Amino acid sequence: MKRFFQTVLAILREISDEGPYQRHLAAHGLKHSPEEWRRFSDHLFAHKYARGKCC
Amino acid sequence: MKLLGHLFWAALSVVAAFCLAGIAMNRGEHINSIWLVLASTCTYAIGFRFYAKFIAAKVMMLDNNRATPGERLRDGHDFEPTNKWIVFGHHFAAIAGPGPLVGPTLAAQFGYLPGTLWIIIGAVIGGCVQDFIILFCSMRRDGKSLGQMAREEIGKLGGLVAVITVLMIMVILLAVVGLVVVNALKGSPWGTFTIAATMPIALLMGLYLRYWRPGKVLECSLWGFLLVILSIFGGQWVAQSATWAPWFTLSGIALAIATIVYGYLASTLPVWLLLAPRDYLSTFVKLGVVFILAAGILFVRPQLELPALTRFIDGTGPIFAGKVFPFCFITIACGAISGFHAMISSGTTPKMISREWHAWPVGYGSMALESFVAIMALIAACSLQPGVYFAVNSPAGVVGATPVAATATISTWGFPVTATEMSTLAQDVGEESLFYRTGGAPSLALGMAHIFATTIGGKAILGFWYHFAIMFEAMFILTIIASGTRVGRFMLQELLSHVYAPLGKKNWTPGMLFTSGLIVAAWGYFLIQGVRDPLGGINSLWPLFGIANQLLATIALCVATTILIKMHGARYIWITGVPLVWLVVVCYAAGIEKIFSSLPRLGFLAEATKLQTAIDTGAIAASKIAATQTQIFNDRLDAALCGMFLVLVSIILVDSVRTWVAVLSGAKSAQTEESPFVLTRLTAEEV
Repeated sequence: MKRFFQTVLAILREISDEGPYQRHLAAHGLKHSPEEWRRFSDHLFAHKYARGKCC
Repeated sequence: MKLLGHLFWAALSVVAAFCLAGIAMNRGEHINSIWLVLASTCTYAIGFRFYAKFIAAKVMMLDNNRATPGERLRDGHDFEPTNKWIVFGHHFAAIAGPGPLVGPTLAAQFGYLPGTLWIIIGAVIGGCVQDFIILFCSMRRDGKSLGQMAREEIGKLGGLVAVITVLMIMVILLAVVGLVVVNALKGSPWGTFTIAATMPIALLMGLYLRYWRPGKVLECSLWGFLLVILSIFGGQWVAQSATWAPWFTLSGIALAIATIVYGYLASTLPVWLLLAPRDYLSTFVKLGVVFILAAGILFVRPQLELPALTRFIDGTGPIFAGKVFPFCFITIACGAISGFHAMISSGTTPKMISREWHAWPVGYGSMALESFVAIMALIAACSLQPGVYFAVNSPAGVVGATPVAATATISTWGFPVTATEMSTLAQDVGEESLFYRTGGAPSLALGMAHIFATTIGGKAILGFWYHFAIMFEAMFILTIIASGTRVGRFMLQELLSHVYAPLGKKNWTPGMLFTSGLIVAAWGYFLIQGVRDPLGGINSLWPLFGIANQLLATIALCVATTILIKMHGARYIWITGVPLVWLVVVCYAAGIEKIFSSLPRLGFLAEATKLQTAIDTGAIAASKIAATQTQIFNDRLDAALCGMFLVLVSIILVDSVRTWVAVLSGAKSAQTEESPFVLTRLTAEEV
């Protein structure tokens, strides 16, 4: 049951882009800061919203 | 253990067959929705375990030793090998839209049987297969998009057709989903206030995430959700206030203009301020509601009040004109097969897969779950009393302009309903009236509210649940409008950059404002046309959207067939060939009927001719001649658009068949554009 909830939380973190942000920090050896989140989200949104949402 | 496994699957097959036969053969008695739940889930499970596994093992030859693009091209951003259940959740959230909710609700006018069979069979041998194979193709090609694969595997023409098709689909899609929202909110101060409140809530969330608590998306979304729930209560207060209610009681045209302005703003404002926070919120609400609805259906097990087949299979349905074939298969698009899914399967998802076999649950399994959402929507709609269902969904132009006339017409069809019953129901859900609310959203909301209220709260909070369901539908439809307008703008900027280069710069403000205006004007025109249509708009626009979406699926299946032919010759061509042939037949049949049918309610040109004759013979009052001429123009425009869709289908088909013949005869190399094999280095812990 614990594993199930951990997976659900991980899915929510992925959908909310918190998971990709943590991976981005880890991959580039960076620490969280407001500026870093803004840089990351600007890049992410530019890609994410270049595609339409599904109907 | 192996014997137990065989027994389990044999038992599941028997349950699936028994339930499907029960649904198909039952006549005259009401059946319980649990039959649909069992028939669909057992069939999906068998399709997943046997058919999809066969495709994965024998046709795709998935290999867990082969490094995926997520591993080979890992960059910490787009390419990242990710846990399969996380990719599954992410992919499902991306493909789940309003289509599987609205389409089955509208198609319920034929009864529950045609829709149920098409959703289940169409998904298992069509939609799930398409999503799975396109995901596989993209995964083996470094995560390339559908357009890129069409260009490389079929030819340049195929790629160009894919781009034009997507742009045209976008315009029709945005207009039709906009119409669904407008029809759900017109004359409803409660609903309008709730949806209007989501705009400042999204702006607040955008600022919260950008400046106050950067990166705390889950926390921010939770606050946003609580504020949205508060806004539903606020909407109830507004609707009961003599001062405020008139401010939020808007006509269809006023709501259409508000939607158009919103689309323009969402396309031009920074993404982080409005679009992204709305998207987070609507995705979480959407997932939550889907799972609550599933739990509610299992708890309530509502009886299906609509018959298996209604008299409207003959094409005389009030919601949209046309016989069960081909229009049931055009109306239910996303719940059975959706071309749009191919865009997602060749978008982010292939870049996140860590093991090739994960494509099996992600590609096939996610679509099976999406199809189950369509079954739930069908159950919610069919659990309404048929008279209520038709009173809500039928336009005034068909059933009569007054409640008494409308209920009298509907009762003569064998679905008794009275104006008093409708008035009481409207009061129960906090609305002035529930008549002529075409588009599917209000009837779906009624069905959902009934299921939710039976589970929690009872009739006393039916109004809350109804507006919660309306909020849920409208919120993610408006997110689609926001992101779709933006994507349409990008595509237009790219096309127009060949005429004037600066227009191609995405951040050049004049170009951005100009192209946003053009794309908004395009879908806004069709939206206004739908709002003004005396037949409710859905009658003309939803089939156009269905044809366009199935056309995109045709392109995806052409790409998939080409790749299968290059891999195995003609041996497995039937896997994608069967759904492809079916879709082509359906698209042509529906398109030709929509253009050339001699029935004015069905054929665009027949209606234009009828109206022109009425003008020529003086049957139209002088004050209405201008409006009638606009309607004639719109009919001809819709016919031209529909014709263009058919031409696009023909081009892509001819181009594909030419490639298949050349490959099979040896005149063209069977070499695919697959990336070379690289041994994976990911450990078991990393996947």
